[in-house]
Amino acid sequence: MIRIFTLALSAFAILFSVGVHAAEKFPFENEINARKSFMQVNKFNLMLLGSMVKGVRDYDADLAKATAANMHLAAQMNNAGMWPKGSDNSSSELKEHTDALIDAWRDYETLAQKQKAWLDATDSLAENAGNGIDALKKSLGAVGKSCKGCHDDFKQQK
Amino acid sequence: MSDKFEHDLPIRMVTVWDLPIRIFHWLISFNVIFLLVTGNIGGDWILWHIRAAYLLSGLIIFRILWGIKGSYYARFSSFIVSPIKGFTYLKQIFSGEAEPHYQHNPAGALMVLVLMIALSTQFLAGTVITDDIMWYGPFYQWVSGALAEMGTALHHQMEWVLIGLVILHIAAVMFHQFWLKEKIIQAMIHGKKHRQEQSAKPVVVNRLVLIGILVLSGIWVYWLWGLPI
Repeated sequence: MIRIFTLALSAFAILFSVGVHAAEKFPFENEINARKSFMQVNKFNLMLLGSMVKGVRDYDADLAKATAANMHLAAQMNNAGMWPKGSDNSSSELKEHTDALIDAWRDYETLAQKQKAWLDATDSLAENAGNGIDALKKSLGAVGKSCKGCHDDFKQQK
Repeated sequence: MSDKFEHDLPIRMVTVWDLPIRIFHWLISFNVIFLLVTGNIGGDWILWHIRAAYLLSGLIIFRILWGIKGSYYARFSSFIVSPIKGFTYLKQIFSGEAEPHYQHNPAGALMVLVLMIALSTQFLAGTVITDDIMWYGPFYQWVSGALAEMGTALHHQMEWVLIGLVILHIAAVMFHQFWLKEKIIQAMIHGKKHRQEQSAKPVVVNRLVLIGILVLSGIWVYWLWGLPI
């Protein structure tokens, strides 16, 4: 009885996992979509703060502070699950779905340095964003630089 | 059709390049260098890069309109010839058969055309570009993601084409200046060339036309300036 139950449970587990991935249109679809969404949120926050710095919208200290805090929270998230090995764009299957270069998995030391730079920059941003437009401009510049630093090394350049 | 020498006529310093053309030439030259440098430095300099690009587009519009309605030698009709004639003239330069021209010679005319097309392409690609971080071209909001990606790729690739064209242009100018002994750098400063005065066409600047063209170019740049980036 236990044997039959174990066999049935194993079969169910196999079928379920296959089923979940069979629903994907390409490998790592869920992970790639999740990290793209994560980047979209970062982009939105950057656009909002950038629009204050560029003078497109009036500086709002409370909004700047809250948005900067969100950016810092995002930088602290452990998103390792969104970046599984093999989900880079070196395979022909994934080339059109992700810009992540295989170097991100090969050069972990540099990647970790870039992530730390981003974390530190957003920390400073969260501290200074509410202290006036000049403080926001300076700290936002550093965040932009940290984003670019990672993109230059690990994102497919168009 | 560009003007050539008549033999046995006395040679004097005659005005070829009007003041608007000279100012345009030096403005666009320094502007292009500034664009290449700021585009590579990045960071906060991208704001100045964008502003300089707006000025570039205004200058291109100015040159196109002045090339239609400007003084004689500034008009495209006075020097634009087929690319085949341009390449033929290049061969003549190296074989020593080429004769100097009042305005751009056929090879120079080809260069003008190629540079204008390349700069216009670079500007248009830049209007839809994004760095996915802070900066967006002024037309980014109106195009699809696919077009923005194409524009971004083209803008990055064209940088190298433009660097090549700038080097080629400077090399050609140096060749004319020091090998062919044609003082074309000085000519682009004071506007005069040693030419046969009798066959030179008068260089007349219609101030009303000039103001009209400047206003049109200015309106374009002003409109761009107001778009979100």
